Amino acid sequence: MIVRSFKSKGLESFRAYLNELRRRPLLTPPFEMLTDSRYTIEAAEPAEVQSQVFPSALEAGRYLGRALQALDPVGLEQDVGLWGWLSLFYFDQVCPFNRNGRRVPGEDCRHILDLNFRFYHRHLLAGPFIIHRLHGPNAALLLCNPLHQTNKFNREFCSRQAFISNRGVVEAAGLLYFDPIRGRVKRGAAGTGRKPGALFRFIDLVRQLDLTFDLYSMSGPRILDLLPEEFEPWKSGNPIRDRGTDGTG
Amino acid sequence: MIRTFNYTGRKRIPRTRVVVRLQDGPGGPPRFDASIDLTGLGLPAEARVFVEAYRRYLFQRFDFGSVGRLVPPEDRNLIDMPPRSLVMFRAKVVSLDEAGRILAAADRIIPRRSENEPTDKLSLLPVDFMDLGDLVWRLDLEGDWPSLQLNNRLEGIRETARSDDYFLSLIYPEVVRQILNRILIVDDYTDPEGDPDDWQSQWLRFARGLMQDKRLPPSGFSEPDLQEKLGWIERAVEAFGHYQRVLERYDRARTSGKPS
Repeated sequence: MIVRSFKSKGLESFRAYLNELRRRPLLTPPFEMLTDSRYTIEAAEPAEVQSQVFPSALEAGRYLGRALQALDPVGLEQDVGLWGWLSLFYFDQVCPFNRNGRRVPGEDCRHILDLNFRFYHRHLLAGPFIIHRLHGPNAALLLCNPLHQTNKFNREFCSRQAFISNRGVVEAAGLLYFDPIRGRVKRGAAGTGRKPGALFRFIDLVRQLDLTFDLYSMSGPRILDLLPEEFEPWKSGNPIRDRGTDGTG
Repeated sequence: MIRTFNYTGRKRIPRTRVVVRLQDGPGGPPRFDASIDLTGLGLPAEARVFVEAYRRYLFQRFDFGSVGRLVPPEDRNLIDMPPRSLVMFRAKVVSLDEAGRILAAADRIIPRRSENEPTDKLSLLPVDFMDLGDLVWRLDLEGDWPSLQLNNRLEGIRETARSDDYFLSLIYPEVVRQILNRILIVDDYTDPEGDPDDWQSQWLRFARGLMQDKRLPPSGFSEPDLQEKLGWIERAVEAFGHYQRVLERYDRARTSGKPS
């Protein structure tokens, strides 16, 4: 389907649908709006998206990067109407039926892009698109979850400018905490509290190192060299073998 | 009271030593010029100098040569940054050794947008333009510096924010109130000399400068402390209103029947 963008009226109607969906979880999405020129306009440059199932947010980010490459990336990342339209187009994936047979949309910013720094990354399509554009395959740690979910690494990194904008830091975190065999976050890596070598200790340490070292000039492996011994078990594998959370939620 | 200590050994480059001018080229990406004065800071001549532009998750880095020989790169286009958006800058001096230590830095530099802006004054409230849905404005206190976000779907909003008497008299006092509330009530930041380059320090000094009574409220979260802080904030907002003649401006806009 040719990519379109919601007009103000389209966004208003989509927001109204999300509101109503919270009250009536079986309500059918208003897919007819997708091609209705009363609610939408064509994108600035021709682009096409296909209806398909994405195995992860990373795959969605990768696909959208290719599909939307004709569009100016700077303008695209701020195009609230276009990301709203894409959310409706892929609504069965960004808001699938849960195990109780209901759709639970969550906050509006998961479906309608909010440009505030605290919220932009919560958009379930714009977030993966932006993160994949910034970090390419190194974004796997942040985007290995199903499209309708986010993980703790994603939330914590995206809310910190010095983390999400730094390729070396994201690469280093991926080398430590992403399990490429299983395609998921290593067990225990995202645990709460300051567990040695886990996510929040990584955040503390990188913040300290960022004051002293020019981290923006460093690769992931070079940053790993600066970390203390508590991170060694994570470098070589997964130190936690028992069952635990992988931070997906 | 929040105080910050520098254990890193790196030097602070005063923000007044780094002046960045940003131009929104017609049809092209924004482009910047930077003048950096590192004289007298005791930095090694061979140390590298970088200027970094950043906005949210976006980041671009420019090699400005060395302390002893500053050479701005030819290409200073901010190709990833949206036009007319709030971009912040930092300047870094980095050692040549393998460790890549930061020897000195100045962060959160707000660029000047026009030649007329004086270089010796800092902008306390940069403005950012974006799609805010149904809102006209929003104060962003989560970024590196407080900024006023304006809805770019409104034609002429830049001029309105700059000179419209309705806007100035109704919006800015509330902006000042929200910012001081954040500094004093939420952050309990009451010492403007603690880190003079912090935005909190600069806003406190600005507010205190408008007031007759130069005493600051006490630090703390007890009920009396909070009451004193709230009273101080209201007096600061009143002083701002007096300084900006907001009542007169509002009345002028009202009686003229249209925004000025």
